[in-house]
Amino acid sequence: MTTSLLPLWITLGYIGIALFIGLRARGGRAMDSLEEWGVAGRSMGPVTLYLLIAAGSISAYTFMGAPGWAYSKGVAVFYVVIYLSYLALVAWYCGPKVWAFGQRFGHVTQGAAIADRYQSPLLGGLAALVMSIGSLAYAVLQTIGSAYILSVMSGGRIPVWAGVVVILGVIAIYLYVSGQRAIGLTNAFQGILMLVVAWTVGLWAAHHATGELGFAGVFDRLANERPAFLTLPGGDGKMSFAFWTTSIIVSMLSFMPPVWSQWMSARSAETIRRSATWLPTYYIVVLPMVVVGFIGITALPNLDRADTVALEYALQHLPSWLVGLLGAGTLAAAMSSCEPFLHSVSMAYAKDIAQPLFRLSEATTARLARRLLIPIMALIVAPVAISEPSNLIMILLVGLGFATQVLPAFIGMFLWTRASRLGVLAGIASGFSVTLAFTLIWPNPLGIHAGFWGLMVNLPLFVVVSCLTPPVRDDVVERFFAISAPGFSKASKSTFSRSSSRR
Amino acid sequence: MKHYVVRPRSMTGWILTLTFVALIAMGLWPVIGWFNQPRLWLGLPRIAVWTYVIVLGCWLVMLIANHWLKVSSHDD
Repeated sequence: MTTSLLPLWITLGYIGIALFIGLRARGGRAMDSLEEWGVAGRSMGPVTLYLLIAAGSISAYTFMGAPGWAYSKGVAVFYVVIYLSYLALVAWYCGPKVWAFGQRFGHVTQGAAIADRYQSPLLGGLAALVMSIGSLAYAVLQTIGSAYILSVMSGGRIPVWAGVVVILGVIAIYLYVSGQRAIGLTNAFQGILMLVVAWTVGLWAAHHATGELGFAGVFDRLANERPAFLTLPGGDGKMSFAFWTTSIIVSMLSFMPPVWSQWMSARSAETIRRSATWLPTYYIVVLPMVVVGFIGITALPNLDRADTVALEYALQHLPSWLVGLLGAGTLAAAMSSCEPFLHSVSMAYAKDIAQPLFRLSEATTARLARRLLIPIMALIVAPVAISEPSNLIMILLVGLGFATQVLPAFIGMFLWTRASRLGVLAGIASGFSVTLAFTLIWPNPLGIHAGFWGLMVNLPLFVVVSCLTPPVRDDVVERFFAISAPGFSKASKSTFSRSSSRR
Repeated sequence: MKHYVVRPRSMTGWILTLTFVALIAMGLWPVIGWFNQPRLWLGLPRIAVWTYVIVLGCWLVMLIANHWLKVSSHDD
């Protein structure tokens, strides 16, 4: 714990700036529709969208978990950079289509798109409900990380419960007032801050540890003293090729709801392509923080918690102002990932569950989505974050495992016209059950990611059941595939014959 | 209606698809195994350098794809 108050003031200063930017983001607009509060009037330009998606995907994991992985496992941590880059490829291909669905059919949530494609509010609501488990677990984890940072930066003066209240209070205020616009502008600020902080801390730490300006000295020493950290399966021997490969595949196929909302917030389809194109360049932010973890292998050999390595190293070896900047950067990473998930859960509960269930009007649904933020934070996220449950990671893993199991729903939107409602349901149910079993009962058999096992059952079942059950109405399928595969859609009506089947 | 699986309809589309697939293969086993050595390139572990080669590759391929597809402002 630090005794200087400077890091705390820097961290609190960051929170103040984020609050100011979040409130200003509204810009006098009325936030009485989901079109505005939910997807910012589909108005975001390429730079804001780039920083929105980039900062949203860089969570507290980058500042705490990733250095921790480098510290305990070594180069295995780079799988994160690879799957984030692949997510950019997914965004480049799917993002413009999702944007067009939203613009033409009025979708503002992922669940609404699923319900429309399969003509099943039940499927849309079910997907939204179960996706929210992973989303809430993710938001809770980021909140715990934020409160922990505040506690460390204040030298223990701010207890975890108070940190949770402060962080959620600030996010609630600007999310309620400015919605997706607040997320866009605060993430832009947080994204720039994270990049600056990560590189400053990484280079400073490397210079302090080796006397050099680059990272070569750090790895030279490891190559001589601890070479196991420079290869797979890593320092603890747990990252096999199979787990590396399947983790990347599962992670890149997870279509989380906030990402969907971010795509729909773009000004145009081209905006998404341009943002996605440049997205991989942002992931250089991970490298310097990972280097701090590698430095910790020899500098802090006896840490109890690997994910505190960057903070511990900063507290012991870096000046107070830089510790404060690291606190602000870590908090920025946590908040920038937490707020999109809270926002998307509020929208999903209102739009995908409450509206079809109670036949609410659009205006009432929009009001409900904003107001739901408060009970979601006060009754779910805050109590769970304050209790710091030991099995939260497990809930998160199961939740993210499920996110991948929704893949058939997206295959039916982008790639295969014959996907049926029952086929998707069968795929999701079977995939989720397998993922659940292989996470809780028999974790990752044969070193293969539980979500990948889920997909291996999910996808064949999805195809078989889809072929055996009635497809979705032709006009709906044609409407979607006029966007997903425009030329293809026309050709199929006349001349296309290969790989096709009559219903 | 006749049902179908979407796939590229032009040579450019096929090249792009195969390039995307190749990029993804570059990050997985067995390719990643070829760089799994405790030696350094440019002062970094080989897997780290290869990771950023993939990052660079993704960026370049999407840049080229944008050019090929001649994405125009009429999307607005």
